[in-house]
Amino acid sequence: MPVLVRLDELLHERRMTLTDLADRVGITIANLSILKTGKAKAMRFSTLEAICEALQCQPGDLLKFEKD
Amino acid sequence: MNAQRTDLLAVTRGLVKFGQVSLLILMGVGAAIFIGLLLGEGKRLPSFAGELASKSPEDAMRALRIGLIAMIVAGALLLALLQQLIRLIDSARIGDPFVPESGRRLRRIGWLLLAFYVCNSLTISPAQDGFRFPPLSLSGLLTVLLVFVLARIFESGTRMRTELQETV
Repeated sequence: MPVLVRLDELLHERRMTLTDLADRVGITIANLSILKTGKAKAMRFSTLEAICEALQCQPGDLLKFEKD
Repeated sequence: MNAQRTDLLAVTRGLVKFGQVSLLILMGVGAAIFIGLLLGEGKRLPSFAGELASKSPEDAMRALRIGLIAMIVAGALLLALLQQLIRLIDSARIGDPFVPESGRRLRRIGWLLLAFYVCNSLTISPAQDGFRFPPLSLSGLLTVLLVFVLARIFESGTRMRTELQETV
């Protein structure tokens, strides 16, 4: 998929684990894992907002468009 | 509420199963009459054969045979249809009716129902002046259409649910 989720890089930069993020945003680890591995088909604005708030970043930092 | 729904599905399943068994018995009776007619070679017509039997016994015998074959084929189609219906009920009972197979099953039921109505229209019955074909069932054709529309709705529902499951 041309839209990549840079969750792994952002977590690494902030020295945060997926479990920490799950606790902060209130989303299950399983769902965050789906997002991290690029298996998600869509993302809710509420999820994006919660992740951006927890990681103190902009949506553009989390998502990246790359041509196939 | 959920238990009530499961009970209702269990009752429906039981009724459909009962229908299947009854249909098998009826088909057996029909097959026995057909074999009897074949062995009789048109010498003796059953009492329900109507007045046509006295006017033209050969035509009456031919009509009866066609009618019985159509009845047995229609019965077999109905059996297959009921089997699909049982599987559909089972998937709803066990948990998830919105699976790709449900749409395919409904579509199969639609085709079987259509074939059943076509076959049924060949099933002739004795009348005062001979034999008559049953009138074309408008409600039956509407049911076929409804099943096809339902199949489409199920397919869309399944697609939407899959998408929702993959939404984080």
